[in-house]
Amino acid sequence: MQDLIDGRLSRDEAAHVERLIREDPELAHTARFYRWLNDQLPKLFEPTDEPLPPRLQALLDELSVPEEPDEPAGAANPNC
Amino acid sequence: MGESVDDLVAEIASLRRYGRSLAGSRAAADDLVQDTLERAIQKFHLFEPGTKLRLWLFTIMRNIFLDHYRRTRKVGLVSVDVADMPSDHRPADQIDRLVHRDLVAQMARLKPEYRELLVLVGLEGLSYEQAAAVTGVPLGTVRSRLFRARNMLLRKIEGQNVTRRRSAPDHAVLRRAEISGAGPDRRPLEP
Repeated sequence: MQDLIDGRLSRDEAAHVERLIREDPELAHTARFYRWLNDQLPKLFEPTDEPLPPRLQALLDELSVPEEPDEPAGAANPNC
Repeated sequence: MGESVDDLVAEIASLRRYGRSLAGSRAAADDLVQDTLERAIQKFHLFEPGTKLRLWLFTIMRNIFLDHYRRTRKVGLVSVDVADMPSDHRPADQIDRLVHRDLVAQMARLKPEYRELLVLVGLEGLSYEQAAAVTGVPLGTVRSRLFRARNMLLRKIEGQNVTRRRSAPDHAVLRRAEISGAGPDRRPLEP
């Protein structure tokens, strides 16, 4: 069943497991919980839109400094 | 190199999530992200084109966590609390908040090696094979840890549900029943 929840089964295999789940209340119960849990994970671990800590932001700012612009084409080849 | 700073930056959200699953608190996770990016920049020449950047970064993060955080006993449990969540993710009503608090509390008690797999597979969408590569454990271990983590959470959350039901029978007893289709938990609780 875990393979079903994690999308690891072929269509036929998934249909087979879904059928088993429909026929077994205990399995159905567990499957509902697994799906619910996966739905909750983003709410638990989403990094949110909090700003980055200053040290990390400084690192990214440092990395994002744009490179020196290329010389204009005309300057590189005055004959063009 | 094919990958750029923008590609690294694009992975920060995933790194923060994975970092929280390992280290617990947001502050510790952000420290981990910082260390990971610094090491990634240092070692970028070792990155193999064609490899998924995210997996490479996850692997670095995990190694740092194991090398440093665990050695210095900085491993913390997830200290996320509902009140600490962004408002758009905060459950709207009290019952939902209770259910959510239970999950937060139980997630915090999971071993990090279980919690990280829930995040890698359930949230980040890694295949079992990719999760095995990041965590350095065999495929069967990924599978069994996921199974154990999910079933521990199921038992614990339902156990609290039953306890609450006994002490507060009118307490809507958790429309959690709607969530999980729960009847009384027939399985024994873990000690």
